[in-house]
Amino acid sequence: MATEGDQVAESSTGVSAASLALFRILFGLVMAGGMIRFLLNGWVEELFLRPAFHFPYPGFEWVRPWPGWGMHLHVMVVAFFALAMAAGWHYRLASFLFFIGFTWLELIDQTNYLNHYYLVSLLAGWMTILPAHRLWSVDSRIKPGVRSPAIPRWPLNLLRFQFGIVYGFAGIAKLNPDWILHAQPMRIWLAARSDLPLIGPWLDQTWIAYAASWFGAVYDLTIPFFLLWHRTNPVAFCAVVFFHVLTGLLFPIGMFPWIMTIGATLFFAPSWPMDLAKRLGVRIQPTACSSPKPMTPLPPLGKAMIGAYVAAQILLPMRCLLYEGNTHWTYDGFNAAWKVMIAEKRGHVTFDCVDRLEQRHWRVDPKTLLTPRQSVMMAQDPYLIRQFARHLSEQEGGRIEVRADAFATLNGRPSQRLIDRTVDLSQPEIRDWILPLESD
Amino acid sequence: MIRLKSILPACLLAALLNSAFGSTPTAKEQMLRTVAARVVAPGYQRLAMRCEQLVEAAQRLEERPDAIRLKQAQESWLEAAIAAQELDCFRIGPIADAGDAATFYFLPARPASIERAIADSAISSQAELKRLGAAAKGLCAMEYLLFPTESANLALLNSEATRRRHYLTLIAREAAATAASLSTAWQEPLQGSAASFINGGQESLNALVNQMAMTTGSITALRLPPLMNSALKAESGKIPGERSNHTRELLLAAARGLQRFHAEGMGNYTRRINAPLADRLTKHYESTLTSIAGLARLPADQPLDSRQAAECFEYCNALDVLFKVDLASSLGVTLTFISTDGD
Repeated sequence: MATEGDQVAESSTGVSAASLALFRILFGLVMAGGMIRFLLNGWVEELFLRPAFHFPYPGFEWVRPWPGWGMHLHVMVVAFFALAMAAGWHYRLASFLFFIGFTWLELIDQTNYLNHYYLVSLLAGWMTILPAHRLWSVDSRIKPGVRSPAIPRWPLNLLRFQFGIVYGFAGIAKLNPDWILHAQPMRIWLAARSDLPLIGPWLDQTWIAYAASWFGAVYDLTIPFFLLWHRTNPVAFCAVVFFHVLTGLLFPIGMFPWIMTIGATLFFAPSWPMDLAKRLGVRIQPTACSSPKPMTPLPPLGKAMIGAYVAAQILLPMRCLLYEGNTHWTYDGFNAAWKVMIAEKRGHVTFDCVDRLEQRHWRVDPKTLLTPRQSVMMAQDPYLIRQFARHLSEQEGGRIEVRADAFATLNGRPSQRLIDRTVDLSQPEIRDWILPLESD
Repeated sequence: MIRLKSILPACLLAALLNSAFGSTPTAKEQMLRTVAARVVAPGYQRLAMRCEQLVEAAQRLEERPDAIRLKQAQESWLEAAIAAQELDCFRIGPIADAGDAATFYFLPARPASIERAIADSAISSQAELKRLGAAAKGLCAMEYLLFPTESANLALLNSEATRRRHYLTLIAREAAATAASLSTAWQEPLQGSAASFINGGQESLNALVNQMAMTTGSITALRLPPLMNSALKAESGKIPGERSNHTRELLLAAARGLQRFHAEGMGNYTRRINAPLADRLTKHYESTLTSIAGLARLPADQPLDSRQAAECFEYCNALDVLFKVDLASSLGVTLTFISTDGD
């Protein structure tokens, strides 16, 4: 027997709006929760207010933290917009302002970059355009023109593509000798959690690290396909929940498991929330009197924009192929490439400053000028080290030479120099300053 | 009934897993147990014993001040300071909880605070001593009193220095009492501080590696540079402002303390996770200790060899990198140090 949702899905008027509407609600709630957690954990202080120096993204130097209570207020307002997005109240404006507000937070400092924050920005950007407010929203209640039980198919496909890309490239990134042949960095990370109750002793076993590494790679590479196929979809969703609950328990990855689990619901039939409600005997909108509107086809410009976005999402993670050497070491093309939980890198850096005019030489320990978190993040990324070296030079009027005494280790290898110690990092044009990974 | 059927096998499996692994301590737990039993407990026992000997020497000096007894008290102070330095990288547990670290590690001496306390005749018992801040007591204040500068030559032996000698005994007693209580806290491996440390798992390991890295960092950033400067100027190994002339012995003790943690527990655990790193650490400790011992062997009034000092700095710096980069990474300390999310 065909369900109400199926009837909508099978009609020429598009697919059920229920799945996307529920995604909007859950995404908005998780984002609001994330922002409140941000405030409660004191991360506004730690990430934005305490640092005396921030590592801006090139071209975004103008994005600065607000003074005083401004940042706290900013995060509170972003949380409010997330709730407004969930409620579907002035949905497009709320989504847009959430997107701007959240992305602003991310652009303040490169050391705060996380793959899932980048994903949130991308999703929030799309939410401003996608018709996720057609159902179960304040807008659809007060504006009859907004209400519709059906939406075009492309918004769902676009979001499925987005989540598929995250899984796909995360899986491809795992196809490297460290992950597959040496179970690194999983061996390090699991051993560090061997005191967890019940499963802890297992995590100390080498074979578990191998099994987890291989399972992780296979999972990432195949799960989008299993989610897409209706026969395997329920089992795949259970695997998603299992995987993300486990990783959420084992690693400090914050909102990521929630976002990915919510994202996986988009792979169900578009009408699944109503089908589930019907099975449970709960009657929810849309009612039989809700009439679907005829879907207008996507204009050519829209198609072109989506095509360009899809191409960019495929090409951007692949830019690492343009660089020589191990990009986990050099960080060339590392960010925005879905290299999620792929490398255990740790660095240590001090800076040697020389003022030739005044015949002065001194050593700078970055911990005296940066927060502990910034120091840790900078010490593993040669580009951030260079950015800080240039900052040190600018502090002295640009007349000093700055060299880095930088060491790093990747996935349990012996530490080695990350940056050529003879290169003056304060110069605008430098070459061959990142030393290749020797034991690769 | 259906639910019960699905829950029962899960419970059985959990019980099986627990019985398979539950009674056996994990490698990490075993390592923490070994460190507590073989390094920390004997270390505090040694410190308590040395501090007790220092009290006896101070009392003898108070009773009959002469050069021989002063020398004995100075030697006892050095022994106590060495015992404390060997635990410099372990400022966790009760020593941190009770704020006792300053008794053994406060630096530099604050003559004004010490002299004010000596001048205050109301301070004549342990109870009154508790009112004083760290600057006026502890090993650092004892060094100030036992190793006077030439301008106040042999101040402790002056007939009018009765109060000074009494104050030395008072603060020595307090340090001994602190060391004794720390030693007691670490003697029983199944309860108290030792048990909390062992059961702390990764949290204890994080604290331990963090503390050890702080010690390697302070050696390279704070303790060696003055020696390097002296060497560059072809001066003696005496550091300006340092009274006892034992900087290098104490540096050696701090490094030896680090090595002890590696040799008596952490090394095996590290080997399990990253064998080449464990071997590198073993070798590097040996080279570093040999290098510092080379500096420490030189008489205090002999100029330091700048090449030898530079070599020592290189070894210590490399040890610092091994700790903060290789060891911290291999033992999974990297992520847990960051209080925010990662991915």
